[in-house]
Amino acid sequence: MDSLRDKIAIVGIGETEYSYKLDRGARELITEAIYKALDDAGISPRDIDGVVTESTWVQQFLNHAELALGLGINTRYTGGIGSTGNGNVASFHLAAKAIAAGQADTVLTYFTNGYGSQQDIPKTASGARRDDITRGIKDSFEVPYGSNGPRIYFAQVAHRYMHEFGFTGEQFSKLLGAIAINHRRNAVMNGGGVEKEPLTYEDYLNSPMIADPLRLYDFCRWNDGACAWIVTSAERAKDFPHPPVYVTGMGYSWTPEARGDYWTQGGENYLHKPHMAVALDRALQMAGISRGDLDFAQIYDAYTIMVLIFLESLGFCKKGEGGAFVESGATSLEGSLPINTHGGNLSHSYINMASHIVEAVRQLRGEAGACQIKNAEFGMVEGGSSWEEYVTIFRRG
Amino acid sequence: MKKYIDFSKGPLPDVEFSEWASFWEGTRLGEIRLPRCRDCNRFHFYPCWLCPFCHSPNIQWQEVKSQPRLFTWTYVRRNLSPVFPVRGPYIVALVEFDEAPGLYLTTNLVECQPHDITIGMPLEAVFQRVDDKITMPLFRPVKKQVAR
Repeated sequence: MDSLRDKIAIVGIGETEYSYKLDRGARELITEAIYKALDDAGISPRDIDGVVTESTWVQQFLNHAELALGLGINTRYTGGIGSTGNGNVASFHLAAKAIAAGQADTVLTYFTNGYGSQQDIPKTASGARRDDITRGIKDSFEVPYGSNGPRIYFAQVAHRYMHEFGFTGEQFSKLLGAIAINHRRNAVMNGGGVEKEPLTYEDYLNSPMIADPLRLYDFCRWNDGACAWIVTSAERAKDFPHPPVYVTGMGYSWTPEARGDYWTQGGENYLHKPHMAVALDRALQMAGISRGDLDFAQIYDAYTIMVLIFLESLGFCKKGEGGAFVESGATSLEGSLPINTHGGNLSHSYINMASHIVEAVRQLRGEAGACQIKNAEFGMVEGGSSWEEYVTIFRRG
Repeated sequence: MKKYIDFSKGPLPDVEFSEWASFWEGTRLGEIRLPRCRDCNRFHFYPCWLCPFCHSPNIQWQEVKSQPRLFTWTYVRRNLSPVFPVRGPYIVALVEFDEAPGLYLTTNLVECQPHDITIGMPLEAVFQRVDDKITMPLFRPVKKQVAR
């Protein structure tokens, strides 16, 4: 059960600048992030022999074969796992198995959303851009009604949450506003993200309603940027320039749902995703620690309402009490469970947990600057999804 | 038949796909149908190729006749997609049927304003014909009987 605990470590991290609009393509950003990660680890592409990424998104910009060709990587192992944010968190699970099995020694992972000004991919034959396209069930049963994506799904989640837990509009605005402000504070202190100015509650309240009850500042905005990281075996990790950050716990769980059900079905689990706590429990068990031992948590936070649902679903507080938990200050940098210490998707960068992972490594190296959690030893990242959940726990070397 | 939503300017459902063609046959007849397992008798939704409860392939779409109610909703004031530029603000809702709890049909609420909405309110289906093949089910609040 605990055979993969501390078997691999992160030895290199790289990230580009983050901006709402960079005049650069996805491949260029990925390449920069990878070279920075290689520099950070003090190695060259020839030292990489494995490539692992999430499996549904980033390879449309740069697939594993093109990457190896372009950079001169002699790949012994390649694999894809999970989808976007969950896949980035899951990359460690696959890399750990490949390294433990002797299929690779040093594994590279990279990600970009490719949301920016230049996507670097051809348009489809019909001329449609990717963001117009949803497939399958959602295409036929939701999109024609103008329900064309997560902003609308989560606005519906938010109304149901208010109804079930008895919040007035004013109470609920205060609560979501507190989440937005907490993330913005971290981002301003970090200084490297897309948002650099503080946010007040008045600013939050005055931001335009997009889909009731959610306002502009309840959502992150798509931005450009890319991240990469390099892992290797624990034995090898000691020979790299930075102190290793160990992958000490990994967990996965799933709930009976199909992808088409994403946040518009769910039945009794519509507002609460029990598989998230199960995945975290499994990761904690591997690590041999409990929730209280975590010094920080990097939680999928594309929208403020997600933070509430995920804090509750991960078992950090009871159903309906996520707001009180945040308002108590528990999730601030000074609290018992700081979350999204760099400002998260909401205010730092929306790279689907990839920049959360880079920040987690910085925290555990003691390189997180103004946002540094004192004596941080354990930190977790999770992927946030309605039907599956990957959790990875890191330990300071 | 009244035209509530201008569906001509946006994407339309694939009503002929075999896994869910029966749903759209139903809407042409003024029925809401959901897939139901003939072995364990439970409804499920969205459609699945096997019953997600007993894993039987023996699935048939059946009309749900019980009371539809509002499960949740949002009032979409701005949609950033270029696909819906002309629609203006609109209400998206999830509707639940008494005989199939926990299954939600995404739709638009019509003939009501956001301040009229309460979660759990009873609704009734109205059917808007788009063309020969496509009829879109929409929902409106059940008209209250005003005592005089």
